[in-house]
Amino acid sequence: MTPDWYRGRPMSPHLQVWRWHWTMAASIGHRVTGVGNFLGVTLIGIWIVALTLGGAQAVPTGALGVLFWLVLYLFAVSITYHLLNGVRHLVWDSGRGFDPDQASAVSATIFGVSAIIAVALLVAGLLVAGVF
Amino acid sequence: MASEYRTPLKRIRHFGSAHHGVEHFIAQKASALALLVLVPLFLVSFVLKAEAGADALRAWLGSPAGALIALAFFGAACFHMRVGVAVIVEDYVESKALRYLCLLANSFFVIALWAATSFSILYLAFRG
Repeated sequence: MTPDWYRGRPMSPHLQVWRWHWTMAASIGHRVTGVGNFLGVTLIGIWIVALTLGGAQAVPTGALGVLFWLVLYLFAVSITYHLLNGVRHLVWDSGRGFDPDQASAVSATIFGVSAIIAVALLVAGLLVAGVF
Repeated sequence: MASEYRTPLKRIRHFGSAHHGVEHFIAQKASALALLVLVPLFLVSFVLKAEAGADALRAWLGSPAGALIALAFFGAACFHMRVGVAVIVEDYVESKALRYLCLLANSFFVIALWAATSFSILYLAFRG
């Protein structure tokens, strides 16, 4: 059945038709981490409310503490990528950086820098937790 | 001027433009600029205080600097989240009724989150 929005107009090929490339991965990554950030801010917000108005008294410890810091870590990684890629979007809005090779290189670099920051945050967190 | 170039048929089909698209675009970019500063500021402070314990976190959220940073962060973040998820809903939800329901739910949820966090922070600042 033809979807309602199609109405005989041309459609662009969807995900499974495209060969993966950096800017496409960056675009999908931006959206996925955006949703992740939505969940992260929501969890932090709810926890702050519970911590200040009752329901929770302290920062979790033990198994729950591991889960707490893991969620916070994943949120930090997600928001790091979204923030760095967001800067790229702001630069794009100024009309600069659209050359395909340059756009791919910048997108790949942002993935790389995010990964380095993610590893650094993990090492710093484990050091503070006294794992090493 | 530009709208003069469209045919009458084009104007009535799909009701034409609502003329609100640019507003959302600018709103998303303006909040992004604010979050560029607020995210590192809030998150680093939040993690350091949480590491020091719940009392340290509550004290920071209730302090003038902490409260201002947290209020600004949740304000800008909730605003940015609302526009961002609205775009995703508009992209993927085909049914018109379900789309408006999702957009409303998104708005209500984000505004509730903003109000609840802001109230908590102000409570800590003035009565904590």
